[in-house]
Amino acid sequence: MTDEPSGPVVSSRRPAAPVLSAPAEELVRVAGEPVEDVASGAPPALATFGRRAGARVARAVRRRGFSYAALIPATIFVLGLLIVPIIETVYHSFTNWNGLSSHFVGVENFRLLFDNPVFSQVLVNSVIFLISVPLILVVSLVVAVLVYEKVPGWRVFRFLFFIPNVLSPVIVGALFSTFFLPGGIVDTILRPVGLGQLAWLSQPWTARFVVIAALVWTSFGFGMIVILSALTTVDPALYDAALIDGAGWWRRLRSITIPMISSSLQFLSVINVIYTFTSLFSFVYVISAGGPGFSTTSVTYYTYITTFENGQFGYGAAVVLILFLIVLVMTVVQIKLFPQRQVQQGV
Amino acid sequence: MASVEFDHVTKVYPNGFKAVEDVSLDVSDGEFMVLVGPSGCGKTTLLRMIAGLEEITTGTLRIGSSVVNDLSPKDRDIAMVFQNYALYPHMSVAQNIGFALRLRKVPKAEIDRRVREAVKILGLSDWLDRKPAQLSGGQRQRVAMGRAMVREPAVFLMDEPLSNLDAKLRVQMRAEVSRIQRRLGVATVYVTHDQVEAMTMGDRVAVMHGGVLQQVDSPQTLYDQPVNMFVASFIGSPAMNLYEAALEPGVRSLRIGSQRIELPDAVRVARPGLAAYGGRTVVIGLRPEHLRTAEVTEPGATVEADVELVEALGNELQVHFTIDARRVVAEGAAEESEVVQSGEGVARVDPRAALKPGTRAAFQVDTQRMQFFDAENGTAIWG
Repeated sequence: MTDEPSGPVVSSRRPAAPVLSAPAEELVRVAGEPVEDVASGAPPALATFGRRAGARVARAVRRRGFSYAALIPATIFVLGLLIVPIIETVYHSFTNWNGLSSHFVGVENFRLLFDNPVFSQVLVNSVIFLISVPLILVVSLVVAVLVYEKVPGWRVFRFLFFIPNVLSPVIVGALFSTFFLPGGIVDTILRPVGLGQLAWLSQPWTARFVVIAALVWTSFGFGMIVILSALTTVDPALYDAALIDGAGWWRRLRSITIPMISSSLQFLSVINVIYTFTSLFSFVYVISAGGPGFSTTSVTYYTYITTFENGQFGYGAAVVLILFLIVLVMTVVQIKLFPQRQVQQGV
Repeated sequence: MASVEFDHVTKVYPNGFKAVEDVSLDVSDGEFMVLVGPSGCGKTTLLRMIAGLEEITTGTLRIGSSVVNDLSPKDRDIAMVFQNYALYPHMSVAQNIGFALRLRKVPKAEIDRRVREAVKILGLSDWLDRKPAQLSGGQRQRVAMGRAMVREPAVFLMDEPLSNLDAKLRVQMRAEVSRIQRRLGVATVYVTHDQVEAMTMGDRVAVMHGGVLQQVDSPQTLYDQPVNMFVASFIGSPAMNLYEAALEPGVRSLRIGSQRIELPDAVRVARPGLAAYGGRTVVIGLRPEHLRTAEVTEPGATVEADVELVEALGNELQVHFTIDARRVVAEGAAEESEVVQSGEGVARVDPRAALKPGTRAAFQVDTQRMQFFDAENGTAIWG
């Protein structure tokens, strides 16, 4: 800190009155730390270091006191509701906590998990549910482009398509399980085609299909809004140029739209993958209760079963930790996979 | 290669706004036609109608011999250069230029050949693999030109292609665009709001105002014989000085403010229509260079004015003065920000003239070059 003047100069410049006005505060900031803070019995080098660090903190507090005060409530929430539980979860995953007694068991929970065929089944289910992500992207993209191009009735569609997104997943789940019940609306429509009487929710693949359909149905409205907002940032002259160059609708979608909004597509892909892994609980709970067997059990639903139905809190914590690692890896992979295009607007 | 022909073309937007009104205009094959006018005059709409990016409400548009009203842009055999270039940001220079050819399934070797030829003409050979973001403004502009050139279209359309460049580069590219156009010999419609570009580049210039075509002529004719006050004050910089003046019966002289200017016979011969305006108020137009401080060549044709400001440009002085006549501003021609003072005017005089602000000076008026307009409707008075 070469810009700090020496002690005597500081004290001579220091205003006597409490620092209230901005110019006075500015003066103190420039002048540095008052002399009395230097007093300390530590060896010279350490004292200097302590004095400087202390000075920095004290100065920061004085300059931004209110800002720090304003941060306190949010910090308490983040620490108390996020950081502490995360650390606790990591700890519990190495214990056999059953809600009452707990002792450290090392990696036993993880060993058991990987030996457990049900857990493998649950992981496979999650991978199958990932089919929803490209479906959501494609549906969102096509719908957004059509709305953007103002197809007749686009205002109505923009509104209608977003509704599923704001419905509670429980309601969506209830709707879908009703639709696909034997004798339900889907059954009635498909019977003339010879596909009737299919017990959708009693067979693994059709049950998974229903879960994926519900997921796509609720998610594409949000995707549409994100893509629509991305589309408005694309220079319309690019489409004019493409029209003149002879590009048809698909070609414009492929060669202009998708490259220009690739960062939004990446964002949608990442959050939908995360959503598929972490937020299927309510759908699965309402539609199929994870069945038949464990064929539609998502990782989150499995966590619920182990933790709250079987009371294996430590085991559940291990499942959650693995889920976290999977999501982390998938997110990093997606960020790396998407081409990092240097797309600049107004070029 | 082909001509472009507007036949009573009108464009009305769904909200009722009439962007283009009954325009008839022929651009012959190989001609460089400039559309010029202030913002919102309909010039860009007219251009976009040729491109097929705007629908034509009524009237007929022909390219070559075929009516193209309902043809899609890609079937019109046109190429367009956009104001912001509209380069595809994620494609390289070569891909940008070759995109249209690729869509037309031109063989790869042929695309390569044509792209290379275009970049050679444009001096872009070293930049083929760059992305637009890595190019300077002038280079992007050239890529946009290249993209139009490789198409070998029947018509070039250019929408203010130089307006995003800095002043020096704009002058340079102006010459370059003209050179390329002459070399290719393709009919070109060029939109600009810059009357200097219009004057320097166009074989002919079409002046538009309020969606209506005002005058189509060679740059010199536009300058010398504007058909109305709008064209007179839009073309030329500094703008033509317009004042109310009272023609005396017999049209031998006129009164401008408290001063009198004699009109020689030549004026009446050139403009027989003036006779009908004897004893009436007209608007006279004087270009700044038609007011001189040199020796008096026409006695009786001088005006005295108060010098307000003298701007020395090296080759000339621009003298801002006021006289006691009423200044007239053509509708839509003045810049919005311009503060119009009564009787204000500009003269361009010899740099050695000893004029000082705050003094009174006499200017020789070139009466043969003076313009006369009907005070009611602003049209020029000739025959």
